[in-house]
Amino acid sequence: MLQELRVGEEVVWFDPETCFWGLGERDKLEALHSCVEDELSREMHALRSSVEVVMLYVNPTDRCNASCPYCYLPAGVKSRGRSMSTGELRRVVEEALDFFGARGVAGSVVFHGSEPLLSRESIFSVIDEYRRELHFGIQTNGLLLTEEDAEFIRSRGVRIGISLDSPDEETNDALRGRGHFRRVSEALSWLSGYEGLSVVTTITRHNQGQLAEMVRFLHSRGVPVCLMNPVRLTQRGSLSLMPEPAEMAASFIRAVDTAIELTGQGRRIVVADFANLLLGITAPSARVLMCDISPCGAGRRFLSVAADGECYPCGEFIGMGEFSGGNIFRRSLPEVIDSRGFARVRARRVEQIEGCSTCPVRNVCGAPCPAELHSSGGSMHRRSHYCEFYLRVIEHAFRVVLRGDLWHVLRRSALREKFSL
Amino acid sequence: SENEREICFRYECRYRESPF
Repeated sequence: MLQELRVGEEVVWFDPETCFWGLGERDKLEALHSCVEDELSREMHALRSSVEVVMLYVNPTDRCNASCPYCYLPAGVKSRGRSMSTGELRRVVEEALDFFGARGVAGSVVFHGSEPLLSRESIFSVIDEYRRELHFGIQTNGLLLTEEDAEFIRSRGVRIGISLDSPDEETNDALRGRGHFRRVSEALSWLSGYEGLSVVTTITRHNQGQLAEMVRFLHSRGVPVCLMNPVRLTQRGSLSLMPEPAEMAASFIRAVDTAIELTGQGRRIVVADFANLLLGITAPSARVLMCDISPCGAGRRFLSVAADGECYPCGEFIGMGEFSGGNIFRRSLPEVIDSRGFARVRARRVEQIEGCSTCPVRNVCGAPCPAELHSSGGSMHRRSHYCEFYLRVIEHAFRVVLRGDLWHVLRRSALREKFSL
Repeated sequence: SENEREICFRYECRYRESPF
């Protein structure tokens, strides 16, 4: 039975289980739904129930050269200052390679942080050794990036995400540290137009009104993809920075529409978090980011390896011992993935969460994030701190489809039609 | 004509491969 959803002045009919929906005569939509429901149910079951790790996030070091107030890593982890040797890093990558190879998967390894470029020599050495067998990525604050690094990254096809929180130097540097804005601006000039480049903006109450301006800034510097993530409230330091969900949603929607407008003028820029929600209502199993699927990708599609070798379902869980799956230097990846801590996270489903179980768009937002909810006191089986934000942005995703802007966000060449009315 | 508009479709991954 389809449910009525209001999108501005329009009414669409939606199935929360399969994310089937349509605009038009209800009886006609119900008839089409009954024809495709079984197939879509199988698709959603495969998407939500399978455990197939295709990516490892690896922190080569605990150390960081920044002190962002909202960092999700516990201070105790960063201060211990552990770094993997090149040999240890190679062992981790070989474990990943064996694991992916046995499953016929072209897997990915993303060097994450703290700050991975503090281990530049090790990660570049490993990338050069294994780049024909694995996809590599680096997520960096950008402070240590040199022009030579940028050339290495481009020439090896390494994906790189750089943190930048504001198009305004003062706002950015208040969050990211003095000099950060200028260093990253310079790095963007070296990587301008590189298709593997993305910029990650953490949304806080300090920059929540600047998101559309941020999209224009990044577009002018040749950035093809930006991620705009509400600050995770995993550590106490981020609580006072929490954006106001309704205000953030309005600003985020303006940023999305700015990206659509600029893309329509020629050169593409995408707000990835929005594109993923849009996939949730148009091609749910083709989603790229895993936070808005329930259960999320933690311990199911990816896992995170801390600098001491301890494995966690996601970087957000690093330091929470009860979720550790064991140490990669002593346990195999299948054993890690089968661990009790990982299984706990995989067991979190929107159907069991009060407030989500009856929400029509529960399978579009996924109610992130379990680590954030667990660490901010109480059970992870609660609805998202940003529920109101997601409801408003998902409504906008419907609006974008209804006004004909879908292909100004998604790439048609990557998708295939299953059916249409 | 606006009132009679019909939209209903579904896509999947065709398989550079990423939809964004």
